[in-house]
Amino acid sequence: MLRKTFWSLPTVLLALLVCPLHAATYGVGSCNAKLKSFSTIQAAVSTVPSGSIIQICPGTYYEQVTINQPLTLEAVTFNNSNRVTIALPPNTTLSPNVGSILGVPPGLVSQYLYAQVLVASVAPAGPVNITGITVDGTGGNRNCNGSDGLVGIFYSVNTTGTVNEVTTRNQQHCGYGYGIWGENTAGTTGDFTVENSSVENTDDNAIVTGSDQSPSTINASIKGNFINLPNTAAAFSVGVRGLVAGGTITNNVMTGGRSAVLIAPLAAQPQCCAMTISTNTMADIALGTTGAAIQMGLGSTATSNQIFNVYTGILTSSAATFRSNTMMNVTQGAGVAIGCEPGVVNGKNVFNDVAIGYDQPETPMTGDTLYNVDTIQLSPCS
Amino acid sequence: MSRKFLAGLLVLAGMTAVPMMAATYEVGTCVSGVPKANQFTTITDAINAAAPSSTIWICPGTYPEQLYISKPLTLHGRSQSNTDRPVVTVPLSNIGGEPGLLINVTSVVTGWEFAAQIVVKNVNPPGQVKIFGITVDGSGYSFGCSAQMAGIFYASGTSGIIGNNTLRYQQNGGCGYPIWVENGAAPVQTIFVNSNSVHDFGNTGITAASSQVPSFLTAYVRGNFVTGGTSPADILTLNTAGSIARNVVTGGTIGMEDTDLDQQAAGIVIEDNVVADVLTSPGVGIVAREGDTASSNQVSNVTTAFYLQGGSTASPGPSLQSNTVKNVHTAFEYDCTANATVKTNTVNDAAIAYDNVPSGTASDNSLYNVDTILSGGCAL
Repeated sequence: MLRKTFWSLPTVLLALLVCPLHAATYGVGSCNAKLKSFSTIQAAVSTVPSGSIIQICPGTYYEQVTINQPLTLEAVTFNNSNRVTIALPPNTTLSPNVGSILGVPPGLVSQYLYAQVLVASVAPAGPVNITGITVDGTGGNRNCNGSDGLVGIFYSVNTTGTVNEVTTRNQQHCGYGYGIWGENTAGTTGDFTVENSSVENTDDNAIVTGSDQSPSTINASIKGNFINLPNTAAAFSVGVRGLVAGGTITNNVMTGGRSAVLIAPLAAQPQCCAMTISTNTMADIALGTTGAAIQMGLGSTATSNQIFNVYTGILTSSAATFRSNTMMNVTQGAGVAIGCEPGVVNGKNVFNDVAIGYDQPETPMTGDTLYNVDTIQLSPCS
Repeated sequence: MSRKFLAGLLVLAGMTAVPMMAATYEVGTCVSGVPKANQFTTITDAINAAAPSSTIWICPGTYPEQLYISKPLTLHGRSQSNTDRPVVTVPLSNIGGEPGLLINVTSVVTGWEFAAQIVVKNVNPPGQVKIFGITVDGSGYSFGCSAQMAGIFYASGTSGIIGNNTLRYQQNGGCGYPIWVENGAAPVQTIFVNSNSVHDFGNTGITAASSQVPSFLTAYVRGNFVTGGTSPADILTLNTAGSIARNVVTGGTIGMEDTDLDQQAAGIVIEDNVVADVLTSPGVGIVAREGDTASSNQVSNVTTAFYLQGGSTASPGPSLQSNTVKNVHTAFEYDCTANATVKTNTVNDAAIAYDNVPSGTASDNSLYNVDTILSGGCAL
């Protein structure tokens, strides 16, 4: 008897110490009385054990959220709603809380961003997953200094995770607003996934992904999203911007803006990494201005995309491949602008209703099916 | 039989049969091997001369003509040197020199008179008319709505394929219809409308209609890109069988609508379409009626994604499954439609998921970022 008590007492003590540190499910708000709940999202993400699931009650949360440990954030359905909105705190100065290795705007020298949801310095290592949350940047056109940016969700270097079924909208900050951004630097290659999300109405890039290393240390998967940007002449109004990024951009629907996909190098890494861009639908892009639905990076591949009602369909890069794409209603610019780049590979594309089939092909291109093309080859280079 | 007599018979047979045999013709000079007798400078001359079931190649160029096709034929756009765009435009009329068209067909479905740039009707002998790879440009014609304007009109009793064409500027003050295909009484006709680029039109981009119940028109509307601006509708099917599949439509007040006469026709399949940016009031992505199956469509940035119609406790309403809806005000407007199936759809970013739902209706969908899941109601 004595012996049993002797053993059970430390067990109870151990349980008391360990249990609160076990990953579990926690709540934010008061819609689930069964969960230990917090009144703010920040209080929850700062307090719960690593690997926990945080279920957030519907409502608007005027917070800036910083996540430093692996977690899952998700919304719950309560009282006929499941809209959880993270909004900018009113009447506060939007002071940047993170620097970007890619620059702001991406590729330029400024570095700082105000992130509404910031994933950074995650320890222990592990994914941060965000599902079914709205991040709304309404009111972000303030405290602009002409260089720093506003971003809805930012995954900083050495973090990983999946953003799924999220809505980001209205990140506008005097031309420096971004929806979702993930980046990485030297070290372990990280997975960054944005899927099934609705990314709307930013005044700069909707989704940004990149690395400052070559080969790239980010493996991005951008799939099944809807991206809608305002019709604007702003040069960086781009749906998905990949900078020295590896990975895939697939099955997205992209409308508006100046460009749907832009894959580009950084000045420090001119040998930019290739991405695969496939089975996307891109429409109504670069209206009233110049721009291309897809601007391909070195060695990138674009296959089976549907490209409609744009100024230029595809702007290629060296050693880029475009195959089996459908282009219609490209009535101002070129279906494909090659710019005399060498090693561009094509085939089985279908053009209908295109002003210029191929602009500056290195040599005249064949192998595609053309209908209603005003000028097939414009200014072949050789 | 003497050899001479046999030869004489063959000559006779040749004299009667040769003009009737399908052959290859061209408009312009861009195809090798076409005899000079089969070369024409206008499409109308080629159509008139061609034997039934012939192919007419149309070289790049501008053809200010109103075309009437009354025999089975294939019209095919052709490239020449560095260009690949044959354009049929509105001819200048004899009166005043303004662009003008004759009223050349009356719809058996609506009773409307149409001035069609290309009309296919009274096809004899029966057979398909196929039109590939040409541009039909309606610029300059604007007589308001005293008559409707069509780009390509397949009248009752005709069948065939309209593929890989460009239809543009059928405006006519709000009464322009780039593609209109229809059928009245039996027999059933089948018309394919495939992979066309349709834009800058006055009313409805692609219309397929049948005046009969059950439908005598099977229409397959596939792989087209239609952008409607602020026009009423991108794709409209009335009382047809068939499908609307793999199209991409943007703009307009309605992306695609299937409707019928007296709620009696069997439904159609509406699948794998992308509908986006339909925001002009009422801003409906897809209107589906009783018997329709709408699946695997992606509907984004519209006011109402799906508008349900028809259906009663006795007959099934539309079935909507595995669709993806993003960035809308209302995902499913039931409008009190009974007996509808709405399941395995995914909604992300909606003010309202279900509006005006009959009581007792069960739905099993994945909802994310929805402000109000269930709204409105139906007094039964």
